[in-house]
Amino acid sequence: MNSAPQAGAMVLRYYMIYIVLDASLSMRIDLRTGEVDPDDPRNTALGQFTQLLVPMLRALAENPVVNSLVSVGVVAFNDHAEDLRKMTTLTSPGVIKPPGKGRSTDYAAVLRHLVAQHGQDAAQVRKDRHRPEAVITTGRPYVFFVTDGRPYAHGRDQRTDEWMPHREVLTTGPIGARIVTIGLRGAHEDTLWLLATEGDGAARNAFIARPDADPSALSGSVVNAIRRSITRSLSSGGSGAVLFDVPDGMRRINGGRHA
Amino acid sequence: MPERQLTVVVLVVGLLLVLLLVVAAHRGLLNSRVAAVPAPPAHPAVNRPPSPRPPRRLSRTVRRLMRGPFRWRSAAVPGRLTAPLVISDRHPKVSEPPLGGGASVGCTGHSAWFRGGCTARQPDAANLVVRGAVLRGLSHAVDGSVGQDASGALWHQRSGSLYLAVADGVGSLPDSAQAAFTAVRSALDGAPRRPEQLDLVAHAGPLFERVARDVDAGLRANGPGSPTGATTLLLAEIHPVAGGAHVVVCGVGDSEAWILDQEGWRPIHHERDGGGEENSTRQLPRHPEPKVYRLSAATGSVVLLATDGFAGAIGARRSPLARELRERWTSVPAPLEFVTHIDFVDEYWTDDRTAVAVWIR
Repeated sequence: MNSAPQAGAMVLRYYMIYIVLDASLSMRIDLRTGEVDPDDPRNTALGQFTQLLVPMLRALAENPVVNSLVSVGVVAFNDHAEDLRKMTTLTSPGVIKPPGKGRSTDYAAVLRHLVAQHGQDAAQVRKDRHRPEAVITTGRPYVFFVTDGRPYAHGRDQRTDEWMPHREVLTTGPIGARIVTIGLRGAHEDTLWLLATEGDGAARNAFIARPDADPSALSGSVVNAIRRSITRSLSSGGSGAVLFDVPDGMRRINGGRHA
Repeated sequence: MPERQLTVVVLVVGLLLVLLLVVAAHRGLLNSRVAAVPAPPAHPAVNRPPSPRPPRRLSRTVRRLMRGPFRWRSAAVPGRLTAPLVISDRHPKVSEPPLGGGASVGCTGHSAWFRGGCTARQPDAANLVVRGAVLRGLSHAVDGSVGQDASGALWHQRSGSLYLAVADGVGSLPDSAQAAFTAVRSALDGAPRRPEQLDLVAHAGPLFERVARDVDAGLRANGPGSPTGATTLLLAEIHPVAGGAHVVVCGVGDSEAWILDQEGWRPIHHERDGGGEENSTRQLPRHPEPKVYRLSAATGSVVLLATDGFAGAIGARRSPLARELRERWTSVPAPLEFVTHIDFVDEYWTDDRTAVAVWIR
């Protein structure tokens, strides 16, 4: 026989989504002319992603379940990390500011930034969703990490042990982030696998573009896959795992050799 | 002259006020029933920021007010929502249907409700009135997936006890709706059939092991491998006696049992994670060890069993749902009125909702 339990408070849990974009030099090359930092950035990989993210946020806002649960932030990184869109609800304006121009792909900087921002972002979400009758909590964040390069900073390749400790802090302990890595052409397969976390099973959520994929079509398929993933992962009261379908033109990375 | 002008101004303002009152009364704005009728949940709230540009003129403000929530319409008719449609004077006195045959419902592609009454053989024993609803959640409706809650009730005449079951299929597994329905059927089948010398408190362990086996066997019929479904389970036995009822509740997982009486809402079974590891709960077939509770409920009490999609909104701290139901459940609501209570409108609560409530009278 059990004793009568104490009445608990009404607990409401909300979710933070980080979309992390590599904004290094290679992401700012015109896919048709090869020009670096063209006046019209719409044909660069970075330009395509930032253009597609605003309609994606609008589409997510139209889903009443996702809208009621999710806040989204967009982060870019090259020599350092910066917020292109602060962590806010989907009803906030979907403005995504252009990233600064740096040359590197500093994984340590962006992972450190995400760790540092988490507490502040979670507090903002609790404030945005405040209800006097309830306890507001945040779930483990989702990170969609889009890159086309290997870790590189200060004029040299970044060693795994330089960025991996920040990844460990981000994905374990009180933050417990779930990371999906999406590698465009030129990305480093082993790094993507090491950075990603497990999905709805033992396999890690690490993906890379197929060699024959059309670079100009990849951004669209990746953004669609992110939108579907957010919707599926949060809509049906699942286990909290990230459900992510392989985007068109990509394949899942088999990281068995790392296990 | 200034005094005369002032009088005219006062008269004009007074006339305007009277005019506003007449318009408001005509449109039911002064009728409290309007506020009491719940808004239809057809379009879940998508909050949008207010327009930053204020209206430029007073006339525009007035026009907006006239177009806004103050449309010409009559006030809601009290009771219209649930009043029976009577088509002749030849009808029997409406009474609660007996639950001897039992009721078991799920919500895979729909929502369902049931009702019933139980009268014990002892003439001085309390009567029981049951209302149950299983509503497929907005989250499942939006993405086209099946609802995964189930519920049931059975009046066992020989023992003079009412059995209630509520189950919440675990969302991450595809066959959890089947697991939930199997658990409800198995629990309602097994609870009254225990050896006569055992009460439900003593029998709960073996009973939940049997239910877990039934759930597991049903899932394994779908194919080999680990179970593709899981469910919480709450089972209650309510035995009416003079002045109230003896209640036993057994539960695994985050579905909840509450009692509403003169002291207000009190939890009976309550396994909330309190913001810890998310989306985790004890479940069958993996955790067949129920928590068991025994209590006495006085006449006038309401015993509630519910999945977390409904019970989660009942909290100790200023829960609007708990406060509202405490007022509305002082008498037994009509079945469809009960459904509207379970189908309360709130943007956060989008999962399946199941609730079975018993009024002890």
